[in-house]
Amino acid sequence: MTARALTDRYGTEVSTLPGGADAEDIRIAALRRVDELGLPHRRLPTWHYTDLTSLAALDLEYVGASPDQQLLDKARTQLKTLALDVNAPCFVFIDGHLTDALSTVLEMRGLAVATLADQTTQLLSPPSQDETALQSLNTAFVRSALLFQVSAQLNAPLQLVWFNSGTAQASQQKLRIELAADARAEVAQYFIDIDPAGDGWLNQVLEIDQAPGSEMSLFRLQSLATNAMQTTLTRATLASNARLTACSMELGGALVRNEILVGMNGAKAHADLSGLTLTRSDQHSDTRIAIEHAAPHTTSHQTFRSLADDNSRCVFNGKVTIHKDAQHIDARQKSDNLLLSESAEIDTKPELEIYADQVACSHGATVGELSDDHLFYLRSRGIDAILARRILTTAFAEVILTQIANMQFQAQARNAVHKCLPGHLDEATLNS
Amino acid sequence: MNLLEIENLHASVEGTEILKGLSLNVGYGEVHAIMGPNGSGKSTLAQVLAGRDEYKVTAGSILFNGADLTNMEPEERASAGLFLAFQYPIEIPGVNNTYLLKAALNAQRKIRGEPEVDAFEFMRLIKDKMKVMQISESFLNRSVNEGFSGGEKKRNEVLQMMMLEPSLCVMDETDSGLDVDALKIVAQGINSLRDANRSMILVTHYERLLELVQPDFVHVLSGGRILKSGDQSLARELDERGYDWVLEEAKTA
Repeated sequence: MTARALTDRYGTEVSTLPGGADAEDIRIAALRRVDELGLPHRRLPTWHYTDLTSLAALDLEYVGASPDQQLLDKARTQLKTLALDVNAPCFVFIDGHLTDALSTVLEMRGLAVATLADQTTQLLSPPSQDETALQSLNTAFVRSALLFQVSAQLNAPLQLVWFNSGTAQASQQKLRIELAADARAEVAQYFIDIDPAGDGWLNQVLEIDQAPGSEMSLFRLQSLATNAMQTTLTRATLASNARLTACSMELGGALVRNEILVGMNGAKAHADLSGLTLTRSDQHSDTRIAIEHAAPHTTSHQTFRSLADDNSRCVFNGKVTIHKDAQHIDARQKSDNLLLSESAEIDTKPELEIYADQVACSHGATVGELSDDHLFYLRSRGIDAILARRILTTAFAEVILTQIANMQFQAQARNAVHKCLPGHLDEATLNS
Repeated sequence: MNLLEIENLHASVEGTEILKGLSLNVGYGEVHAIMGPNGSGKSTLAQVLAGRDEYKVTAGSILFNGADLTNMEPEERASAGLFLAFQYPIEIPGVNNTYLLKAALNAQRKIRGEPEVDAFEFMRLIKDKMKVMQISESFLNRSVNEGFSGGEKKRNEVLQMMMLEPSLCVMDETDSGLDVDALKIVAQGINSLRDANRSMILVTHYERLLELVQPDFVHVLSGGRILKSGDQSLARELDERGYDWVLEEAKTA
């Protein structure tokens, strides 16, 4: 993606994407912006540890064809292994294509769902001056976007499954979730690879707009294959008394960037963000959180943990900004990390910017290894070294898993985590 | 053959030699108490027996049931029947007590070719032992030693020992930091394990434990060697007179 490369290559092809003539102009403008900015690189202040410029050199297809029957069949088989809630709506994407054949659309009281063709203006806006290259890229190529308007307390979670076909596609997903006053929604996102050896890049933009008193719970289970790449930008704005809970499981992917920006815009809004990242082989996983406390009496909690094995690298950057007139803030942040091999790397960077004077803020970051004392204690009881490590890493991960309030999500997360941790747990022991 | 035969054992920690030619034989069913001043090598002996990496055996031999203990991993020693009750039991957040005990029990049973116990069988096995140690069921579902008082930690060590039924129980100051009542409970637990085939090494500073768990032999360890051995009357004498006279006696000998 050298200068003007995308515009030259795709300038005419984007007209085949949905949204009509207005959308086409927006897409071309967005393309130009991507060409102008280039993909994020380490000289950008919020990209200190992660560089996406190498993606430009990859031969990825940005406007891919619809999935064929073979892919659909494979995805259908995998869908069954996810233990999803069959009584809840499920939206299935393969690469950037919303796939009706695999989706379960249910009428739900208090929920309206619109696609890009229905609501072009709300899902596709001209690139603004402060948006990132990844947002513009999303605007330029997004094919299937969904708008969820929630006006009541939903009685089942919204499930979103995104399959990566592994066929060298660069695909986009755009979601916008609007919660009316006192509305409540649970959203679960699953990112899965159809081909365990496949590559490809999923770039997602997720907007959450919460009216006063609304409650949003977001669960994300990313267990892509080791060659896939995934970038997500979640941008949430919370009005007064709104509550947001978000828990991310980052288990797969060669190169992953999960960025969550939260604007605490109304008094007494609360955000609870947590996450667990496990990396192995040469994986690189970067989590960035930025919370802006712009209103008084707002509270935010961040609890993140990571375990890095082999030659992998985990990055965590959590930033809390407290605006001048935002008094009586309670903001807490904790990042605990375990290095499981000598060649793994963990970078954790808590940041606080405080412009108000009546605030309670705390942050703590730890990076360590498994304790020799703990290992020896377990081994002295007859537990072999591999199982001992496994028990201790599981215990470390459990702290995050037990924070997932929805027991179904918690079980899904635990299952996926257990498959990724080094060593094996005896099932009989596990179920005690 | 004895259960444990230690011959001229030398061991170092970070290059400093702590054990300097220690020899000790522990026969089947015998209870040995090891006493001695601070820094004499008592805890080092316990850690060396359990196989702690940082403790290097530089000379001598340790035979356990006739097998060379020094070549065995800590978990192999445990499965072979050696148990160390820690002086400072470790807190392990996130690992629940039942889980640890069941994993340990099944790991050992597996190696010995015995069938694993299920949750039901496990509860059946542990119930009476919990009564002896006065440990409640809620305690089992807490993380290993996390937030336990000093006394609770020591009682938990003895409970683990009772569950794992080792052939050699090595107890490193299991009596330290206990009040009179807790000491009695711990002694009860230890005594419930005494039988003709099970041996014990009690590392202690205090004679009061030895009134409750009566040893067959008492040894004074100082400067990394055993200076004097005797029966329970030696422990009483040490309690009255301290260690200096033993050290003097050893010098002039």
